[in-house]
Amino acid sequence: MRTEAPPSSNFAPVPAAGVRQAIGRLRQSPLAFAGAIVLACFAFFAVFADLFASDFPLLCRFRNATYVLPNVTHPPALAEFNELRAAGQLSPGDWAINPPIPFGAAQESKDEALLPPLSRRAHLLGTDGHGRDVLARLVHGTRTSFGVALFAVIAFIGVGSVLGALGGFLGGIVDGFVSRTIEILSAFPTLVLVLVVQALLPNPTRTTLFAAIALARWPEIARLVRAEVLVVLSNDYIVAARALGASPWRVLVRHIIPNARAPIVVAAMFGVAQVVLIEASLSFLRVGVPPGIASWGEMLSELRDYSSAWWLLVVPGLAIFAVVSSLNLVGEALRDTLDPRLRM
Amino acid sequence: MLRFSTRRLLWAIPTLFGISVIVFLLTSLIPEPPGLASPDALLALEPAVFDTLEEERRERFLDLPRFVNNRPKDARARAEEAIAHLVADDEHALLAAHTLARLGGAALPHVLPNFDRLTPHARIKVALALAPIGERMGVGGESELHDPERATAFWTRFWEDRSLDFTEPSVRRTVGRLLRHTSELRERDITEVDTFALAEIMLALKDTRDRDAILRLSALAAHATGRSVEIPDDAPGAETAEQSKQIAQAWQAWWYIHKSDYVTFGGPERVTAAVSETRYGKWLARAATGQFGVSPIDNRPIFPKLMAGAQITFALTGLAMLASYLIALPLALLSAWKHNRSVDRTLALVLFVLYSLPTFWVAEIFVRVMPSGSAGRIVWPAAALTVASLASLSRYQRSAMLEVLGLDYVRTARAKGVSELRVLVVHALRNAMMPTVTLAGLQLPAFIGGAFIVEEVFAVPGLGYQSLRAVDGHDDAWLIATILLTAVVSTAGLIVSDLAYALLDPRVRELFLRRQGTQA
Repeated sequence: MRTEAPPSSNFAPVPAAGVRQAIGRLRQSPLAFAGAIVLACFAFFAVFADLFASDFPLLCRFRNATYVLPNVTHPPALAEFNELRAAGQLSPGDWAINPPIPFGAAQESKDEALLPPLSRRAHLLGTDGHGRDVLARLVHGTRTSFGVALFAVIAFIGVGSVLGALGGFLGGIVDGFVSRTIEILSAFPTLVLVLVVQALLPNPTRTTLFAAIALARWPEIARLVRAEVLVVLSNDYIVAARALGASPWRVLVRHIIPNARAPIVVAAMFGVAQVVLIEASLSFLRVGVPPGIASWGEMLSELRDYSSAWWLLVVPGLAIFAVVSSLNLVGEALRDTLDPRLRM
Repeated sequence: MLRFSTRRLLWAIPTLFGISVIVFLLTSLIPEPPGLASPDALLALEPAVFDTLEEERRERFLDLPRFVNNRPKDARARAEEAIAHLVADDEHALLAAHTLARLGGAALPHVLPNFDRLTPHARIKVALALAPIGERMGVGGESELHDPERATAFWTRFWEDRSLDFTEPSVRRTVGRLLRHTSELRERDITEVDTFALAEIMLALKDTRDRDAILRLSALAAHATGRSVEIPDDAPGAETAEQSKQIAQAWQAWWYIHKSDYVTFGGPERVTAAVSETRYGKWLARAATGQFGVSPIDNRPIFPKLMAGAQITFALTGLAMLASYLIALPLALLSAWKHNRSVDRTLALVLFVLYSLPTFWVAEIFVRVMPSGSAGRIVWPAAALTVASLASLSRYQRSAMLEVLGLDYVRTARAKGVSELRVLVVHALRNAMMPTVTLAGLQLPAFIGGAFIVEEVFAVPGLGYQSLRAVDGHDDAWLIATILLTAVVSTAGLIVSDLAYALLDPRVRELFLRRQGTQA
């Protein structure tokens, strides 16, 4: 576990002293450190989901050809492999090394539906109403959650900080326009806006989902960055820099951006937690990720059809709780170091 | 305070306008019905299919530009365009003839007086295209209307005899007489001006309550437009007055879409039409009056259903908000009182756990643990929403409390020997509450979103539950109406909390007024 620790302080060029110190401090706070490790584990599962859970083997020999990592590459030649293997009709020379969880996220089997956890050795965490392995779906759901969250956060932090900074820095009409847009978009409940966008689009995908979330969330970041820029602008050293003849560009790049960076980093951390919750909620309502893609929220939504399957409530619920609370712990630790004014 | 309130309310107008623009842009996400790539080919093959496709597009105002209409089309513009195509005999000629027949009597004052200016050849073509109108009006014989040699002469003579009937006062008189004493003859008078009478008929339909008159007017309108009004009659022989009212309403809705086919804009109308005859203008005018159309799920108007759902959802939201505040304040007091002792630590841990739990998970637990019964139908969902939303409020309130406790005036109070409880409740709480009260306005959208989830888990038929049914049933109009309503209510909540804050704290008023002054 120790090897998957978060980036340590000797981790290649660190941009600002503030951020570097914050990461150093993170190692001193046991709770935040534990949170970071949990996050790292989940991130590891998300990245290598196919290696952990797949209906294709890790390595196999079939019809005199050897396939390396077919669970990642999905070679067309192996299309029949699983059927033949299930029927026990493989030729004597064929063999396969299976991943730890030998099930795909969408692989259904009717006769193994709704198995409780630990009832079979193969299905460690049981199966859902369609006979899909819960653990495999959990691993692939991590990928969905982290993927949507990562892209959405990058998008809304990017849009929000650029527009917020422009509004605060330029003032005048630009600021009026940005502030107005922020006010208007904040009136829409995030969940309702994303739900309606996903429902109205003719074919919603994961891309439209994170785009819609970004659309709904950027005003909050823009508001934060704008306020921060206004605070920085009122400092004497900005006046001094201007008096010395610094161009507006130099003032922006050398003085304002470095000072406004800390709150953005903190907001990004909490932003990931929010997006994980939003994605799970929407998928729970079955308007999030399109059907067929594993997601924690979608796993929970099965409860409506099989309300006695307690493990469908507990397993994804714990996963969401673990990720969100870890993100909040790390976010709070970062905030306390980077931006003590906001300390709760 | 009055100045502040007025400013704040005026300041909300552009916000509401912006919200309407955003929601309108959301309507553009709805896939458009297939475009009419070659209208003439389709028209020649299947006129009925053409008409339904065209109608589908017009119901969503897709024939209009989005925001600005430089050339609003009225009956005159449409008639002239059709004539131009007919005369040029280009690829739109078939469509032009079809349009002209649809425009009917309303187009005649713009066609017949200009007959002389056309070449004889063109004149014959136009006259033959008018034949369906003549048949509908019941004037002229088969031979006169369809014979190329006689049609021109017939229409020229027709206009010499009847042009006086095609004036607004004359039609108004005729419709008025029909309403007073009905007779076959007066109905014929109206039939003979065809669609030219529609404007007056629609006015009369709006005003009259008499069931007979409504049915008679409706029949006349149906004859002129070739469109019958269908009323979902779920209870035959039930309230007939209600049914006739629905007929009148259906015609009003139809007229709202098709009015520009049958009336000629005067000067001022032409100017306002640049804004009103657009997709946004038409949509906004309807949305502002609560006309969101009919649900494809059960063929009922959306607005009454929306109001019924909104009552439930906002009751749920309000209850949960109230309860959250009532619980969060004492919890924050307790935390501040026992700061850094085991009570505070435990409370912080519990709140942190709640803070990281998704709303739907809490709701799923509640729905399992709590007894089901009619008494708890709104109470348990509200409780679930409260528990799910309590944490962020409590945490915020606690930190605000601790911040205020560090201020000088609190230290002074303590130095004077004021008891700790009195310091907390009397001195600190009021100041610490202020930011949390403003937070109420900002939290409203989050609470509404939470209500959507809780409703679905508890199957409470509020906005959220019905929205998800609308997603399944492709009821796009419902979704649009819902998002507009929630955004407007959120804005209203923000205004109320701003006003409340300003009432409590005069400094905020001054700050707001000063800022507005420098921005203007």
